[in-house]
Amino acid sequence: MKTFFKSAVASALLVSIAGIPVSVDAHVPLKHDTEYVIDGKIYGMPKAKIYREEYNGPAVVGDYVTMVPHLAELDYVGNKEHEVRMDVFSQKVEVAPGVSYNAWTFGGTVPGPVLHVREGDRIVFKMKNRSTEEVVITKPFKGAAPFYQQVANTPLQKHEPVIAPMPHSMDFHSGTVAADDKWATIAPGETIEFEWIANYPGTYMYHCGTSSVLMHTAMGQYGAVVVSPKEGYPTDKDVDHEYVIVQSEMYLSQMGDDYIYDHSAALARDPSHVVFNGHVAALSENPLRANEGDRVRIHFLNAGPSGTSSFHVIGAIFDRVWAEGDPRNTWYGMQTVLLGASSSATIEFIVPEEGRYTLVDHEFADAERGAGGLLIAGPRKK
Amino acid sequence: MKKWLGVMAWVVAAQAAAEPVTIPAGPYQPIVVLDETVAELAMPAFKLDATPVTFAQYLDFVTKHEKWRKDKIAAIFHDGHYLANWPAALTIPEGYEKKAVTQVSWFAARAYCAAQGGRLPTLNEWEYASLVYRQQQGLSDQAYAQRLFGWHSNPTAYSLQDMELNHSQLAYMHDRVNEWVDDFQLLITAGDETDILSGSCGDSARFLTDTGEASYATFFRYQSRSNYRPQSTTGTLGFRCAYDME
Amino acid sequence: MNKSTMAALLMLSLGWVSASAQQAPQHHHDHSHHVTMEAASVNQSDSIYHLDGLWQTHRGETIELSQLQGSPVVISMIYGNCATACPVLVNDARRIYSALPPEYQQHVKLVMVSFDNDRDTPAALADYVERYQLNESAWTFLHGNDTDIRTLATVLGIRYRLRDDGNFDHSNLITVLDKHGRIVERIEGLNRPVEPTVAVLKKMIDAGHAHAH
Repeated sequence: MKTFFKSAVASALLVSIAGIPVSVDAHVPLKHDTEYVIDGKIYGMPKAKIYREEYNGPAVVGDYVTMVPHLAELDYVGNKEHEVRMDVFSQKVEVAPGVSYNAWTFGGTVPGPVLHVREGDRIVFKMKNRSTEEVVITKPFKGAAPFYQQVANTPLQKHEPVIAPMPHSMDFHSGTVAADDKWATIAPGETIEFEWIANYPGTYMYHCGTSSVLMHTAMGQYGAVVVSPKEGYPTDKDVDHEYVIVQSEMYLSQMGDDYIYDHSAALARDPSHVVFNGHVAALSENPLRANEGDRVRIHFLNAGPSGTSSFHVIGAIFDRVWAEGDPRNTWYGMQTVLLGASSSATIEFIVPEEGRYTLVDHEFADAERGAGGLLIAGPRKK
Repeated sequence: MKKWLGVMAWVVAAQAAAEPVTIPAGPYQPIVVLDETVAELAMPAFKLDATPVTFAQYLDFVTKHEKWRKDKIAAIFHDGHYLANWPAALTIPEGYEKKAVTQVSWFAARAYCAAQGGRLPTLNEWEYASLVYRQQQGLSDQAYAQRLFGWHSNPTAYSLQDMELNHSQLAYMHDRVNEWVDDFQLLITAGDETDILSGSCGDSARFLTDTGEASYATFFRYQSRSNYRPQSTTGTLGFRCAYDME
Repeated sequence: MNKSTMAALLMLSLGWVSASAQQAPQHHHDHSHHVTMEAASVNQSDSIYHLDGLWQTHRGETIELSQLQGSPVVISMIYGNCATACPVLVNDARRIYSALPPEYQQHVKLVMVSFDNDRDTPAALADYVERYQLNESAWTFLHGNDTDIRTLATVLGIRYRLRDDGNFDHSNLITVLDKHGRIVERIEGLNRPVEPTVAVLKKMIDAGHAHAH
């Protein structure tokens, strides 16, 4: 086992060699000789590795990796190194009753898995391009992320393995790295491995960055990383429920019995469906739950690929909103949050009464195409 | 005459390649602009296999050229999955005689074509032939784009369909397999900085003469294939051979 | 470039030329030390010397690439009419060579392969060698046919394209091969630091001597 923690002296030396005048945090864990620190943030990750491996393990690995709308609890203090795997492969998924398409996915779902980390954590990420394989995700798998069990419990997308060989890549908006190295495209059968540091708190999109990004994202390759702030949000102790919602557009047209990607519609920004968490019924078949008087936090990401979202909860006012999820960007008392593509907000509201609260994209052309959901509130707990 | 030859070839031995078709010389305007100074190329005539190479034809090749058997091929020429679905070195999967051969690397495809006295077509030759085919078939831009996007939606189902082999014109250009070309790895350069178009962004517009769906679909074929390694093998990537005019 | 970067590059290059990486990629660079046999035939499955084809040197000899085996090779691809990047690539190879201690230099070959089958005849390449004073016996400039040029470039990961104006667009890449013809390091870009490459070459040459005795 390598020593991850270098002394402050060594860090200071490294920085002074680089000639960058900064203050060095004695507790910042440096791991590689390439790394350096500016304002307490770590940069200079080593080069990505691309190689071939025989791998038959679970496609999604990581203790803090879940399926939307779930968010794993960070049950550790301070910072941690996460080993995360999200393989890329094709999967038939349903987005509306009777409408399925062969998606390109991270981990088999649309949107892909949610990764939860803390500001300052290190992520050692691995991804194999398994687009040449049939990968089954509907059965629990030893050593897999909690994501797997949650998928098995949530059959709404009706996942079926599909083989559709295609080069892919992974672009984490939450990482600060050289994109041509870490976000490199890998051919079918190859594995890429790289590290990044969650330097900034917030809710971030990840997606396939392989040209054409429009088609790769429209085919289903996106998801959310939630980087919780080091010092937390000011309301942390009052929050009763924490959920993740990812909004996205689908551009599908019918060909025979199948639905395929419609590029003209994608260019015209004329979606066939706009969905929360990948299905028109994701949040009505499986509504969010809370109780009267609860403080609910939603990490809301608009993945696009091209549309905006005007998120609103009917009957509630957003007590606090942190733009992009950064606790320094606080808004108060908002009825609607407008988000461009790949933009996010961490939203909190008090559930005022027992009852049903509809979640919508208040751009009603989108809501009518599926961008709606439900929160059901039970009675007030004393 | 050609048709008769084709039929005979098929009857006598499924392995024998059907007569390649002549692609006439003509002007060609690439849809993907790799060289900003060149809008039109004068393509010389060449010959191209009417159909992708089949499993039966490829079996004939590896029988004669031991070096390319799955149990003999050097590691540098493939990714470990070369002819992965063959039950044995000289046995193709049952019922695959008339399907387009897949799980072949670029090196193997080139070796096959060289053994037939041909070569892989260049990118420009293949795309020029694709335009000729679209004209022959009366394939509108929209129908063409839909065919390609449909293929991308379920490429395995397309690649596993049988082919009729007695064609006197080009066939199966867009609805069986994606096909290797000799110069599949794209690049453009800006001064000494090379941009290998391996694709880190949605910036296709600077390479396209128009942003219509047909051009985009063509670009997507170029671009995704450009991200393969020469060792790559998949179940949806095959090839056909080109030949110089005598 | 430091050690870990280099190791990553090593894995990158070995990763995609080795057929079935059953082991973790980290183990791959050890293989060169396991092999002690010197064979005339190409005995490494991931050697680039499996490429066939005949090449002409600037000295007028006809060779196969496999004749380069037996010592480490620094190889790149250029063309003679290229005024910008190619002289830098040649100079980068020279910088690597010059940075080696003299007793190591004799064990290294520097191979420059031309993209330009038409103009870079063996005689033209000899002129090039003369012009840039690359007279050390370590240098070999190669002229080949278009098919073999394309094969070699592709196996090395060098992309190139002949432009309408007669120039070539190409990647700037120097590759280090071990004595068996396996890719052990790739240096992307121009004017890169030579120290890591020199260290790799010295290590391979030292290992070769240890086995010889």
